[in-house]
Amino acid sequence: MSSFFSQLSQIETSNPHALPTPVEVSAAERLLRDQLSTLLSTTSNANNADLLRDLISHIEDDIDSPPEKVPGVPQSYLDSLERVSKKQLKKTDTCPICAEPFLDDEFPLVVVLPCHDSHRFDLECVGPWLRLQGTCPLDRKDLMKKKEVPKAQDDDEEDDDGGLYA
Amino acid sequence: MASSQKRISKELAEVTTNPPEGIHVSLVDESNVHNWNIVMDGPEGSPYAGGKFKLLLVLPNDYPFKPPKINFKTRIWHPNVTFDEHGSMCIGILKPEAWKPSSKILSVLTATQQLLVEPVPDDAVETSAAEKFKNNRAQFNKEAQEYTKKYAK
Repeated sequence: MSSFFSQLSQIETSNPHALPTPVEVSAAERLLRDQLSTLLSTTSNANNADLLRDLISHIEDDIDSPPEKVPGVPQSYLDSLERVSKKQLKKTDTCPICAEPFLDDEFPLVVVLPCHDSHRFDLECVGPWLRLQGTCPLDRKDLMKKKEVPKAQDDDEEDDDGGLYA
Repeated sequence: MASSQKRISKELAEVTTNPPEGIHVSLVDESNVHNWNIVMDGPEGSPYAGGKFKLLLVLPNDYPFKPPKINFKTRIWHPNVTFDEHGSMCIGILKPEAWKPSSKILSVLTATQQLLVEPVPDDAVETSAAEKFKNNRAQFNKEAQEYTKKYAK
């Protein structure tokens, strides 16, 4: 299996800010399939062989239809999130992910998401989720969509005009 | 991850000190907080009333980023639970696209209880149960009651 993991870490670390592309995902899945095939050829247990064949066929399906895009946000998005200062935090405020009070940490690094000003998290907790999912862990709003703010303002103005002339 | 263990221990403490009605939680193995035994009373007003249903709740290592897995260990005749030795349950809150890391195990358990009261036949995994539930409710209830008597003691 060593070649699989070395290749996988290569894909992951070749550029720390890059999201995996569909081609890379397929390549990683192909490697995994090949490793499972090797295991399959050496196993003597019939149950294990069935399980491996099953896994291989699932992976082959995935190889044929790689994800169109990865839903997570880029690292730069995490870096640009608004920070919540210690002064703004109450003793009872807890992170919804780890359930620990923010102020238990002497130097809390807390961010607020743009969907709602009460949606606050430890950056350490919300970071991995956002990198992979790109949605708010409380209301699952797509945070990348939120970025199209100028467009929404245009719409509002049009609506207002419509109201005037109606 | 240490932080996930901490959160799990906290949730476990909450559920055991202040258990929701009709739900009893214990650890499969005291040294491992990731596997929970659940005993759920069949809710009153459902054909499962009077039964005690065992479930196994497994928290993945990357909980709460991944949802818990929950299976019925007691056979149950229900549109959203497979009627086999796996007892796999289909429930909205645990679907990967609906799961939120802020969701609590407690809400998963109460949602499961609610699913026993109100099956969701349009999201069925046990299609024959779903069809009976939709087209012949009396017959469905009768069968569900019989299976409850047979398996869920």
